[in-house]
Amino acid sequence: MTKSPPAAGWLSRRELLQKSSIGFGQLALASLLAQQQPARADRQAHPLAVRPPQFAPRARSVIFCFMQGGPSHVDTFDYKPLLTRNNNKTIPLANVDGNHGRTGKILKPFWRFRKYGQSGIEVSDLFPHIGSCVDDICFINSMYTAGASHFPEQMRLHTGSDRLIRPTLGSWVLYGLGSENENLPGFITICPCYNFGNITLLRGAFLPSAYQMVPIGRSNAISPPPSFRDAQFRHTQHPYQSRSWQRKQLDFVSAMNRRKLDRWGPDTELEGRIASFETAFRMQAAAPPLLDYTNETSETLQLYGVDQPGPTENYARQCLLARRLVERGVRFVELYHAPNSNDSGWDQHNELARYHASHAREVDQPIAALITDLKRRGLLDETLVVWGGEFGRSPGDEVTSKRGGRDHHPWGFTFWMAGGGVKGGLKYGRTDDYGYHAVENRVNFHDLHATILHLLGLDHRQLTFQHGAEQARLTDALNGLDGNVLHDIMA
Amino acid sequence: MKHLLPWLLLLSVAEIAAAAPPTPPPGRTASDSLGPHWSFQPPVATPLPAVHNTSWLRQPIDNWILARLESQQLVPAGPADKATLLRRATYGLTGLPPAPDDIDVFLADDAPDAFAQIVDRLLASHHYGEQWARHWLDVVRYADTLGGTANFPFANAYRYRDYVIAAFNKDKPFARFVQELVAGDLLPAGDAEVEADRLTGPGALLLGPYILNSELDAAADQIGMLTRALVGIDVSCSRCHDHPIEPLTTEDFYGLAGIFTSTESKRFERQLVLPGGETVQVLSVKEGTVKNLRMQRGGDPNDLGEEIPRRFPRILAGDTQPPLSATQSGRLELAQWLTRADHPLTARVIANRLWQRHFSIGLVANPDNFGTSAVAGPSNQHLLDWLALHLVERTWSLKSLHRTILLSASYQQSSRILRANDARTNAVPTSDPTNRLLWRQNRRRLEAEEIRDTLLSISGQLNPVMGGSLLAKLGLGNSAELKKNGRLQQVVDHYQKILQRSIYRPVIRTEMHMAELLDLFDFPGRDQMTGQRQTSTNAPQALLLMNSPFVLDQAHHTTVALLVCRGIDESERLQRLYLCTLGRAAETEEVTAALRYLAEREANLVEVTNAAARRTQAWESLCQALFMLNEFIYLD
Repeated sequence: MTKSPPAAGWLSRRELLQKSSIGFGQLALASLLAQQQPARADRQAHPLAVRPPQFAPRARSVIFCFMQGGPSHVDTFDYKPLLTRNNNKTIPLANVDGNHGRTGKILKPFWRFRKYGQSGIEVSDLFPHIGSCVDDICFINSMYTAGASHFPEQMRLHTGSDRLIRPTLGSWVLYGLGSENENLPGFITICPCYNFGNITLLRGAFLPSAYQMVPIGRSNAISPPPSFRDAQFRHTQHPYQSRSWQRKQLDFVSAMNRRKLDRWGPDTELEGRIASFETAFRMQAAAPPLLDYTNETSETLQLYGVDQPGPTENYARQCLLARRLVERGVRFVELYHAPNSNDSGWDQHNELARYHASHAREVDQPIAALITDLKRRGLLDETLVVWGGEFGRSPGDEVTSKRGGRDHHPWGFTFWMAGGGVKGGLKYGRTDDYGYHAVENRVNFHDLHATILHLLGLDHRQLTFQHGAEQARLTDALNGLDGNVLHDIMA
Repeated sequence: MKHLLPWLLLLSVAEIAAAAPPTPPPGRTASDSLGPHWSFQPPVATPLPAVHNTSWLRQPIDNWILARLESQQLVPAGPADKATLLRRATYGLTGLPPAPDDIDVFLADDAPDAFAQIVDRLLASHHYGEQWARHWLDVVRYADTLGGTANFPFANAYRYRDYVIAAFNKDKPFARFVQELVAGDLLPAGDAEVEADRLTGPGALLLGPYILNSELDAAADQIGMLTRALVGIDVSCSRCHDHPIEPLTTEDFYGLAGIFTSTESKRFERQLVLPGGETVQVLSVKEGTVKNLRMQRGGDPNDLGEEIPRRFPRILAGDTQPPLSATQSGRLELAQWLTRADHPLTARVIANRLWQRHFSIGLVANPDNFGTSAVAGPSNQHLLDWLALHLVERTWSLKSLHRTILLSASYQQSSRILRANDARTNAVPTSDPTNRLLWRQNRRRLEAEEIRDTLLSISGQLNPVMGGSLLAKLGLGNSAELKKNGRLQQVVDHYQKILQRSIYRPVIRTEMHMAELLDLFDFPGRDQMTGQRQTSTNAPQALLLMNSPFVLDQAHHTTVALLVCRGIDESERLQRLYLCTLGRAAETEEVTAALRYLAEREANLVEVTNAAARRTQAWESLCQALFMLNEFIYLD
């Protein structure tokens, strides 16, 4: 088992927790104690303080690999031999309806599927590295969602609502549990996509601003995406004022801010801003070393694919950073694989064979390495890795292009999770024989959210925020909706 | 209430004869042909409601606000103190802080119309146009480059930007502004100024991002921008299928799209002689080949359906519309229809945009969505209708509407939550915790450009020159692919040196991050129109204020200017600093704390042997501390 040298302060505390092997038990005890105490008045003063979960958690951090654009399920993790057998025939199902009103003839998968691992789960040749990890992965093959447009479904996937500006999953998690590392933001997005309103997906909305994400790097839909090699936390060093004096300066600022708040009344946005300066101050020491990979072994760099320039390098750096962040107690990390100038992310209405292949090459090895690396460091048990996009792609071809592409497909698609207390080597739910409709153990984004929160020790019905007259929560963005926790996938 | 048709207000009879379509502009014939949705019906004049506390009223607006508050047993907050009010209004109208001298004068002026005078002065300032053009440029997704890999410049986009600034400054009637946007080239010719404006106005139609491959893509971009910007619905959404929520059909889209595909607009420029005699090129449009479009079934260009006559959306313009001209695109009729006095949306949408800027949230919360898919209806529809009708009555004068809003008691409320007479009681009413009914003003954070412009203005580094173009200065024409020959680097190198107001920096679609401060403080992407920006709060913003060379530079220049003043003592110096950064005097306790801070900092700088340098560094540190305050970037 490889251990990176412990960072100062909190890591050693964390290791203490690990070594004493009562880490989670302790949290559970704290949770019991907390339940006996009424509302926690200190949230306002210490919005990011660690909050005990509502019950014993399985995971303490989440890494969400968001595949923007909608990767094809039938070409990746949902093997449907009938598609190959009946290539170019009409899908013999009632209730078949394409995004734009019609769906094309069956288009067979572009890649061969193979069985992997002890579980023998089939994965296509697009993802050989992830294939080798299937025994750690739970595939949810029965995802479905309500709409077939990118942005509303990306919104629903992140916030539970396709139309309202609601807090994103990461903000809810940070709100629920606080941050374990006061030197870093508790919710970090790596290379988020800023185009086309995408940042709306990642908003804290009405949650106090302390729970907002902090981005590093960026994707860009319309220029070549900047290499993540160049990403950095900027302005982490004052050019001439000593840090000890800067501390006094911030104390002066903080005192004036508090004085004003006391006189004018509470304001969570202003409280959050005060907290952001405290985080910023500590980030000055904690952030720069995060991106310095020199203390990683060459074997690790090779594992991810960071070591040589090539298609994997960019996403590999993101995955490696994700590991380093959860290792340091960052609560929620979201990694983007997003559109760039050459294509539109996983949104292959045309030439799916070509572009899915290039995307898969970029992410396959790094993601598999992330799972492997987390596992050998003993972190996979408490880190939930989630993979997926806003919907899948149609088993029939794209009628409007006829250039080897697939349409948006919200009626059945695949998400997967690894670690964090889910069963590995499991296929949960299924679509029909053509990969069209989710037909068994159907799972929507509310269910996904409820399950992720549950694994973190949070009851999605209890994790609420008073927003106006509403007790707002992640899984009730539109009235009457709810989420089902997928107890069957838990180890 | 009877209204003159708005273009009668704007054009002479002869002009109407020249410009009018052969048939009367289409309109709704019977209101029962409309859907029941409120915003698709024309605004209705309703008598002002009676209220109990009549002494609170200053404007008709206040009747509407107070009636709702009283019906909920709510009491408006007291008036904001004068310094707060001045700061709020100065930023609201000009995007800049009040000058210290102006604060002194206003605080000493007890005349009942002192604030009205201030409002008039601010509206007359050319900074008003800069501030409100900035809002408008968000709405029309303004950028100086196409985006994409090649990222071609729009070398003359800035002429549209400068036109918008001038239009706001001369209070061009909003209806005329809309007509120039949609069909300026088809409006009657006039003197040099009229010519320049009507040919520059349509420029915004061309500013879409690179993703537009086909003629139809460009039309969809134009329709999406125009319909969201002007009438608060998005007709471009029904391109491939009938709108899932709004009563908009694919035919509605193709009816409008035919108008825009009958217009030539792809990177088109016209030659123009400016009033000063200079001959320039402007982004503009001209009539193209006029033809109706055939519908593409399911968005498939190879699967053409029936021909759709060019027309306006049925839900707004009715089922029976007179046919549009067979020889012109129909933009002229569209411009006239949009600016009818009884158009259900145009006046409401712009009135709501003004309200939104002055109260942080519109009466319709999403300023770009008045349709049936809006999450909530207006918080006060009678008031919104009153504002819309008032705007039309006042010949679509936006300045007049600003004045009406700013002189209301509603606007002038304090934003305090704790009431002065009971400082320990949280006054947030359970019936309206989010303040939709406006029992107080909303606090708002300064927008990105306001923050940068403020820093430059306080430090004295702001270059007051209006207009201009970096791209022109660098000689980059429309075909100068930015990715080639180091051009982008050239732009980046010069960009930081532009110390004019932020609106004059080019918006390079792919390089938003190079404007780091703006980017961090939520400058919106300009691929789509944005009626309301987001407000994020995060550690990178704090780091920028703590450590960035730009902020430290401004602290330095502010200090130098402060220390240069002779004949005043340190506490007077502090008062000046507070006045120019926070728009108010420092309280005694604050003076004490600041003086102590300065003294400690000086004492702490043992390694600096030069006393003057110690003093400078101490003041720099204090200036910077004030720049970090919540109070600095929030308006109460």
